[in-house]
Amino acid sequence: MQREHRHVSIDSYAYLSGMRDWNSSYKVLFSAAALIAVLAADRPAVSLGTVFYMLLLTVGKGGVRLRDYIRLLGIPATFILLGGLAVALEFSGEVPGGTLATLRLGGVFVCVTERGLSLAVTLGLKALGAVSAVFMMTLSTPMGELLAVLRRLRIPALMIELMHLIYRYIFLLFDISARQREAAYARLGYRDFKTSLRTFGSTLANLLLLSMKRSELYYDALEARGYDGGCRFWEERKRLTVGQLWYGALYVTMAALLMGGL
Amino acid sequence: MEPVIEVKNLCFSYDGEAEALTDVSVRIYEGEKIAVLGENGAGKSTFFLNLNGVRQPESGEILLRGEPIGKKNRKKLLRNVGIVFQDADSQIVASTVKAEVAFGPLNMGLSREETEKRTYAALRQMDLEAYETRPPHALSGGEKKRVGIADILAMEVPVIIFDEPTAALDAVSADMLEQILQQLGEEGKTIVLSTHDVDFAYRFAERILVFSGGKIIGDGTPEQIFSDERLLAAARLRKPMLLTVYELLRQRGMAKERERLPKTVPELAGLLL
Repeated sequence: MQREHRHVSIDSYAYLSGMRDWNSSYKVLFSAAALIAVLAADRPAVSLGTVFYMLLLTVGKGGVRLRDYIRLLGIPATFILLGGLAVALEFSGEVPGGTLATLRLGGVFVCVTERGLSLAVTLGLKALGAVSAVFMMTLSTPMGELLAVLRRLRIPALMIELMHLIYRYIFLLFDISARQREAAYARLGYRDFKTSLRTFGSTLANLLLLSMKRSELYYDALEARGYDGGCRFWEERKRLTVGQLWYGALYVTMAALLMGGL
Repeated sequence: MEPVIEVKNLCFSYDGEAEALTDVSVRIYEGEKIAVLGENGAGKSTFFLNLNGVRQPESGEILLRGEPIGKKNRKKLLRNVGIVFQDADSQIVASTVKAEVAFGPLNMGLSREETEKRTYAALRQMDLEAYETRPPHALSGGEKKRVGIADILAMEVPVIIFDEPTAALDAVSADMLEQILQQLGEEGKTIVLSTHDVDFAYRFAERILVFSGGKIIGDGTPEQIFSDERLLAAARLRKPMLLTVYELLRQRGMAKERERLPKTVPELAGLLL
């Protein structure tokens, strides 16, 4: 696989994924089904099973490096952990029943109760399972293919076109912004906090003007190739194979067994 | 011989006041290789957008194979005249190279099979087959330029406009692009390009149009244009290096005098005494 691809962006995983040739609609359906299973089952075992299944699928079949996967999952996991802490901790004037650990801060007790901890773990695993299911889809399906699935789901064409153009534009603006930052840096534009703030403001304003100018050029280029108010993008048709269905069937079986308490 | 495009007394302005193009008239014939020269702001890009049908003249006329083009049938112009923009990033719209090249043919209403056939043919011609699944933002400047050309090749238009094709390209990419342009010319495509590289224009073009202040102030063969010192000064152009060297050698009696000026280094070497 072309691991030495030069660009490093979130969608590069999708372009390099071993699951890229999978049928896009199936991947979206699989991801949505796993998401619903995790939310509907409301069982930590199903959530944990989903986290591991999606990890195995994305890393094992998709070819995303385990280190990269953990790094990517680390961002939502941090928020989930912080949210979990808020659920697990109870602040009280007296120690409630079923308390597992207590910390006294002046006149207030910070307690971890059995009920609170159980709720935090259930909620945290549920959120992590849902994120893993979505990661499986996003790390194996390029944006263009996801938009094609949305179009098939009858999402209005205008929204799809806007999403297409915004996706393309994000990278252009990132590129311009990086060059502006380098140019400012080379002229001591970030030498102290005050200057940095001023430079940041100027580059943002400049970015806005450049985007407006570029949008005019963009429109001309679209028209020059027959744009008449509706963009027609090429959509790849990828076959749904028995092998792909097996992975789905295996997940459904695992989720059903875990739901039934094995 | 009927011109493929005829422009008659074309006037155009962006704001309705200052004219970007004034009374431009020109006939472009099938298979011609035309270079459009002129300083920045001379009206070259605006002229191209009018030729392609993206902009409509305020007055004057554009005829495609003798048929006047108006608002109602300007799509005919879009289907016959393709334009490769100077900045490929402003041209590329799709999320993969293949989808990008297929964009034009799909907009032309072609079938999926025909679109795919043309897309692969254009990718092959531009040596981009290995890039078909890549996103445009993962390409280098030269690769993006090739995608921009493949975009237009897939539309199979008889006239292709290149707005400063060699701008911002490294020497190897520029040489490669020149070869592609030569090849397209040999295939019978009509090529109109703008450039600031007078050496390239002198080598490549069979005909040169010189723009200044929104008007055509010179129209002739490269030899005619680059022998006209007053025209060159008016358009702020310099002579090609090869011609300057030839003239110096001739003045010093080191090169033969010929009516046909040398276009390449080997041709110049052949004239040395």
